[in-house]
Amino acid sequence: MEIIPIASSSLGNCYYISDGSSHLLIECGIRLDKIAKAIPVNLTELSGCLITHEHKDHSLSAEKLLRYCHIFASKGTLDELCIETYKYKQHAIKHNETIRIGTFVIIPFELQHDAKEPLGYLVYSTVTKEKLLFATDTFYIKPKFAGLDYIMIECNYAKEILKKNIDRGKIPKVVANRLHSSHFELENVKEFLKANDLSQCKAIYLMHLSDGNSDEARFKHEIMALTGKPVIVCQKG
Amino acid sequence: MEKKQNTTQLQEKPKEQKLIAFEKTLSDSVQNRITELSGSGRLDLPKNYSVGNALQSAWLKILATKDKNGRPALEVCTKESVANALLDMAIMGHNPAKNHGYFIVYGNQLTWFPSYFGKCATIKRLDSIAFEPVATIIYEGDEVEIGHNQIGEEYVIKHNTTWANKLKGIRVGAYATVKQNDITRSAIMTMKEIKEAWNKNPGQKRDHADFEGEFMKRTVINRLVKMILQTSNDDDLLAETMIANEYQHYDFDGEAEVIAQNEVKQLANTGEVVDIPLDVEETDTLGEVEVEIAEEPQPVKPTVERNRPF
Repeated sequence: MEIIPIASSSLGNCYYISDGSSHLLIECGIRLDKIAKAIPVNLTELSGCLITHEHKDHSLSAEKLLRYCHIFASKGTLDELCIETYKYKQHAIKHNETIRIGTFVIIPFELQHDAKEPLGYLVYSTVTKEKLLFATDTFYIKPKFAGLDYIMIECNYAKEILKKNIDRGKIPKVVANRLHSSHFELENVKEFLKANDLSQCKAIYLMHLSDGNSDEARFKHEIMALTGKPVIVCQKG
Repeated sequence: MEKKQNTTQLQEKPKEQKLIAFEKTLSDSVQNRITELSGSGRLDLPKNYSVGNALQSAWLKILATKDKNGRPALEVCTKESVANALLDMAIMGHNPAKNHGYFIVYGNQLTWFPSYFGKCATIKRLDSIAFEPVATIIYEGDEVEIGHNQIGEEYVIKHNTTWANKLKGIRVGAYATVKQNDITRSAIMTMKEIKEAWNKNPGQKRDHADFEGEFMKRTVINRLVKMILQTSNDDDLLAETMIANEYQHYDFDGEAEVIAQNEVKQLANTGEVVDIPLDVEETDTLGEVEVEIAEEPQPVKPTVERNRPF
């Protein structure tokens, strides 16, 4: 499976995955021209775009992208996006209900974020027979997974760094309070990785690192030390 | 008592028995603790206060208490927190039937939140306080004379209001006064200060706007209570409990973190395994780049019409 993290931060998120036959976008939170430049295929060749939730850093070009491909998101997310054009290309999906996009089989699952109805995705390619987990903007993940080949997971902040920033007055308390119940903390990510079967895992992608409350080198090192798997930190783009 | 039985009878039987057993052990342990405390002289409850009665009406209130998601408090909250909330209530000599306070759920913690009446009732029980505190609202145009008492604290010497000022209804501040060891102590707050205090708890914005006068009184009383408690020499459990209880409700530092972390501990990675169904391979659409949504196969019901020959 080919995975290209195009953008990953609170300014915009976009990821491209392909198994050679079908091409998928996950999130479209950056400008469309940037997406078009970054992906190795034409926009019209995309089989679809999965959106996790309605926040703009995940859905910025949803409306424009609809001209070229289908969009898949929860009903809550689509309602909040409220795009009146190309209704037939907007597909409302539910958690735990399997869908098929080209050669990909996808199972959405629930995330915990301050959005209407956020979803994470378990993506399986019938071509490469590989499983990919995609979960961002959540402070924990309820379900467990088996035999994952790739894990793309948010690792937003570390408790100690956040605390330091609050003490220094860099981060307002209100913002910090929101973080606790909306984004993945390093220790919680570790707990998630410990709780799941990583025997087949080929790579772990860390996404959506916070600007001021994270430490790329440290996160990468700690996750590698814990799992013994290659860790790739997705860049801001 | 009769009312209580009716409430629990509505529940299913095993659940009902469990609930009754839980209530019995809870009120027993709270009552024992209270007796222990008053026996050792750490607590001096008013003579007309019956712990048993208060616990019984508290239990009815707790049964009806729900968290912000509408789940019953008894399902969400830890047993320890229920016991602690009841103990807090009993130590302060409160009775929910007299609106001395409410039970509020924070995450998985049940807490006792004393009302304005409750606070006044408790403060009256401190040894140094003779009468309960009184809160007064200052309207625009009122004459207020402010001076300093023996210990150098600001207090209201004189306050003249008129009916006309009250009718106009423009509130510019409030103060609360109490006599402690024959010294008059006041907490005076301007409207601006009161609003700032309210902004710390944005959840209640609507209530604040709807019942501005009452909430202003409450805020100044709270300020006064805090002043008295924090400078109080009363080395008793009552003052201690009131301070701890205040802290629980007004110091929200880190609370969001604790709630979130509790939720993570309880729910993270506990769900069922989500996996791709095995039969996916059989319906392989290799090479097809086509968008299609897998629909649940609808069982075809043979209808009478279909079987007819025409």
